[in-house]
Amino acid sequence: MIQATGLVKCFGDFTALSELTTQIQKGSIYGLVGSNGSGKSTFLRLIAGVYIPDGGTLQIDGQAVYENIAVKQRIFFVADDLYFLPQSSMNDMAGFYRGIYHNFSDERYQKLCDIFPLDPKKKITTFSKGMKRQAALLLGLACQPDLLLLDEAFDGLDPVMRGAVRKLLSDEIASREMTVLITSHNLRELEDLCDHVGLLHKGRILFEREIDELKLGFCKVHAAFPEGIGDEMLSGLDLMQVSRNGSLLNLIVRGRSADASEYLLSKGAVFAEGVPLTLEEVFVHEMEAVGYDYNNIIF
Amino acid sequence: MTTTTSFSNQGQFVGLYKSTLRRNFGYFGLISALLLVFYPLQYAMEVFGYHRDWLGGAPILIEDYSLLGLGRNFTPTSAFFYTAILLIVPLVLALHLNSYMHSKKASDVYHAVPVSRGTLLTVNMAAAMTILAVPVVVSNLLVAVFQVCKFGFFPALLGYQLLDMVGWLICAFAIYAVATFACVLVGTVFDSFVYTMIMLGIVPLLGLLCFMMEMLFLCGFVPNERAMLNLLNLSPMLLMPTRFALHSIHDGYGNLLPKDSDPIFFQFQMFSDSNLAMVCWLFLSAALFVLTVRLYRRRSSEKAEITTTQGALPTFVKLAVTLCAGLVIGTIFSQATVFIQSENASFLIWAAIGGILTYVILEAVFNRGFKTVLRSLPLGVGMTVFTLAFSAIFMTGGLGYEKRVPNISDIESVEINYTGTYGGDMPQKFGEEQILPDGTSNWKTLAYYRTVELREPQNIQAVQALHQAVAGQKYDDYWHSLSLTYRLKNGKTLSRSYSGIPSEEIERLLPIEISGEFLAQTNPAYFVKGQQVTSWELQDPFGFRHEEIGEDWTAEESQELLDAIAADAASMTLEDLKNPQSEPVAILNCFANPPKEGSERFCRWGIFPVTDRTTHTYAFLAKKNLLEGLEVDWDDCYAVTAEVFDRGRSNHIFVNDSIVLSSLSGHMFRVEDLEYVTERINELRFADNLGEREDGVYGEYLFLSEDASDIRTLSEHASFYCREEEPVAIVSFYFKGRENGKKVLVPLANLPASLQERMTAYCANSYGYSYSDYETVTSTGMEGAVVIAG
Repeated sequence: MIQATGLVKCFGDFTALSELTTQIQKGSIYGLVGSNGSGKSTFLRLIAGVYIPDGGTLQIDGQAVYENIAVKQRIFFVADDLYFLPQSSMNDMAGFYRGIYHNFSDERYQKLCDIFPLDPKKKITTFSKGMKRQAALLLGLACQPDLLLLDEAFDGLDPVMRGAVRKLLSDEIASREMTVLITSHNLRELEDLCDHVGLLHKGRILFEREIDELKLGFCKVHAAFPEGIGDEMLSGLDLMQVSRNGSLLNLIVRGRSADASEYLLSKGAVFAEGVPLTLEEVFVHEMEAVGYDYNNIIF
Repeated sequence: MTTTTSFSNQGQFVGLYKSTLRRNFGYFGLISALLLVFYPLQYAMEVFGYHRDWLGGAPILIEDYSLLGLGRNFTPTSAFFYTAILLIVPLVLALHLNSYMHSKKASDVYHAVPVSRGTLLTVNMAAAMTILAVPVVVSNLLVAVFQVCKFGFFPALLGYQLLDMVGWLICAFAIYAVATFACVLVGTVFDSFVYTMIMLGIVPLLGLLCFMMEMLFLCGFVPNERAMLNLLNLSPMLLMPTRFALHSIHDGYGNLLPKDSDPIFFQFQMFSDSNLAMVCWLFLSAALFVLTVRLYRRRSSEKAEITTTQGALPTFVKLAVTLCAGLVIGTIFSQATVFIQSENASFLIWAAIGGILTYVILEAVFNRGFKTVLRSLPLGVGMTVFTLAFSAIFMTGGLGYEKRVPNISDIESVEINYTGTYGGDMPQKFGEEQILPDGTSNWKTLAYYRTVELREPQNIQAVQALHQAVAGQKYDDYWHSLSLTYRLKNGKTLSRSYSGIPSEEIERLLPIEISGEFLAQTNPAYFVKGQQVTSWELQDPFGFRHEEIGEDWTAEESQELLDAIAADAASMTLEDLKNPQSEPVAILNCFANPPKEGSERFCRWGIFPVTDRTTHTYAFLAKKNLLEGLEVDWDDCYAVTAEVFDRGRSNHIFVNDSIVLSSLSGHMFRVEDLEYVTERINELRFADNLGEREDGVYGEYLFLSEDASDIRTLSEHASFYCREEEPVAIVSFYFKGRENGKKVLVPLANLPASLQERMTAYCANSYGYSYSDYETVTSTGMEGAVVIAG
């Protein structure tokens, strides 16, 4: 659906996106992580048609986005810093979007108003930060876009509401094959929502994977060797990290945890058990694998 | 995934338009209320107000009211507030409606939604103009209804009101377009406001400053009044307010006045220019808006909230403001604070100080601080240098402007403000005869001929020679002024005006005074006909005798005398002009009325000296036995007053517009009431007795004497002529039972020393008097003097 090729965006002397190339499939929930200033919001604004690319191409279903009304009809952008019309209520905002998005559904809007605990007649300026975020998501979903761009979408949402939003997004994807591109600097927020994740660093995608592939490709194994074990004994594993604590070994290994445990037991381990990695741990190790120093990339 | 491509742009436009109007209904209400209160209500209070009852039931005319505007649809109050509202509101609306592009948050929404940027701008423009235009149209309709109810149906007035309303809306649109243009180019609302104001005002301001520089530094520069006023049409902020000054083109009911008088013709010209400017602004604004839309399509959203200090627009604005401020500060401070002798150097120093200070302030304002000032200072210095170079252009002759004198072969004719020695009535252009309610006739003056047009080669050569002599020269100590306009063979004109020209240069013009074409334009004997003469009067030079003559003359006899006067004028020689020797024996007055159909050139009054050199006139009067009994009986003279002037080179005696030589002035035979004269002399005497003469009586410094010997001495030395720098007394003789006579010159050097001392003692205070002797002379009517250059 989204095809970015060699995308460049500069702000004066600062290059926010540098030759960014990526592809996001239709119907996916793509999580874009990166540190502050890595270019996440810029990338989203380019996709939303807010910014003009300084180089490269950005296409959605083969069409450029900037000033392309037909393409933008299918996109809704929820920015990090939310804006609502002055002195407006949610109903006012709904009226505003109703006149612009031809897919705007009043029925959907009413349903969402029932789901979210918000008063649609109340002025949005009286809402809390989280409520404003909910209002923006609600309005975005009411517009029924094919592509929903969420910049730091969960910022300010309480855990219950995060869960509700996750469910809503999942339902939309399931029912309408909506594509969601969501950015965050917090991997844990995306872990149980996204099916794809990409790491943006200094304006480039360092790598991107399917979540399942990431999680299945690595494992953490705890094993106990009372007699000790030499490094040569571990050569049969695709080791990414080893740490020793007396007779206890903590290993991060590329591959399935069952295979690693079986191998370690065969080498004399009295105890070997596979533990699932957090997405953050996977990222740390992947980045190190591709040659980036973990310490230089702070989430 | 589904896509819909059948979305209606028109529907989207209408939806957005309605949404924008709804959101800004408060503005609409406020503007409507302001306009209704300050426009139709004010008008209704003026025309229906009870305070007009003083007319006591008489028909109430529109001109009885304080109504302004071509449509007579404004009161002074409503004119002020209507102007303010129509100028401020479009600016405020533009800044408000387009402020989303100056907020990162708002532009994330507006620029992400599926609406083209062109549509966004156009919707805002349409909404703004609706918010403004609806109350304006309704208010004007109300005023039109009030006008019709009160004064009746005058289609022309309603037409002017409609025209003005359209003009105001065009200007409002223009202001909106300029403000939107600025909004698109810059990143903050404040910058948008600043750049808008500068763009709206900079062109007329620069133009006026150029005029100012030309007037200050360019020797010979003649400001073109029409061009200066048209500068105001170059800003939509000024175009419509200036139209309030054009209300005199019709009679109050929309009937256009004839364009035959100078002020009305000028107003018609300005009206026509103003209408053209309205049309131009309409197209210009539309073009600017289209350009703005194009620019906005490629505008970077990331400009939002970023101050605009780089690029062509800020550079241009800084340059223009630095230039304007440098010129203004240079002008003001170089005039007010002279710390070096050279005025030009003083101007340049102050212009440099003003320019660089303004640049620093601008830089600090645009960058919200002084951090960048030092880094950008070289640009400021460059702009200041440009300001100085621009000023230097004017100081060094305006790229050859000062020295430009056309070749003789290129000149078709020349118009010059030299009217020569003839000191009578100024020729005028008269309109048709009007019969006044009391049955008397009146002719409206349509123009005064303050200049003569010369076509004869020798006259053109004389003028061109003088022009060449004075071109580029700056004189300080002289009073002669010269204005000339060449009409060139290529159809162009070239105008110059000089002041302070020395007499020895002006004398170059003397030969034109004896030319036929000059006399034909200045001497009434050449264009007044015998049948138009109503009466003749004859006086002695001192005002002793004053009587009407020729009551029974036929038109042919009057024509014969006019022909004699013309023949005498034609026979005048250059020597007669330079060194006049013949004292007049009589003064002849001619009174005439223009023909019924009016006249292109006419004098209703002519005055001619009779000397032994005016042989034809002398012969005619002698033939009629009119020159007998003109001798003055000095025994009848009971008092004499004198004003003494120490005329330096800067204190010349001028009468009318003549430059070198002055002859018989229009005030020569002003009849003063004898009672007034007596009272005046008594007051002078009373003041003398009290010793309170130091402050003068009636603001004058007079020497008064009733001593017969003084009277005799002064009468013996009275003269019609004096040298330009010669100290003289202006003397009036008072005769028993007669009206005040004319004033004559008495060269002080010819008087006995004792009399000189007494006279100058009386008039000592006048030496240091605050107003110039020139004013004193003209205010008291310097009569009958011929002042000879140098």
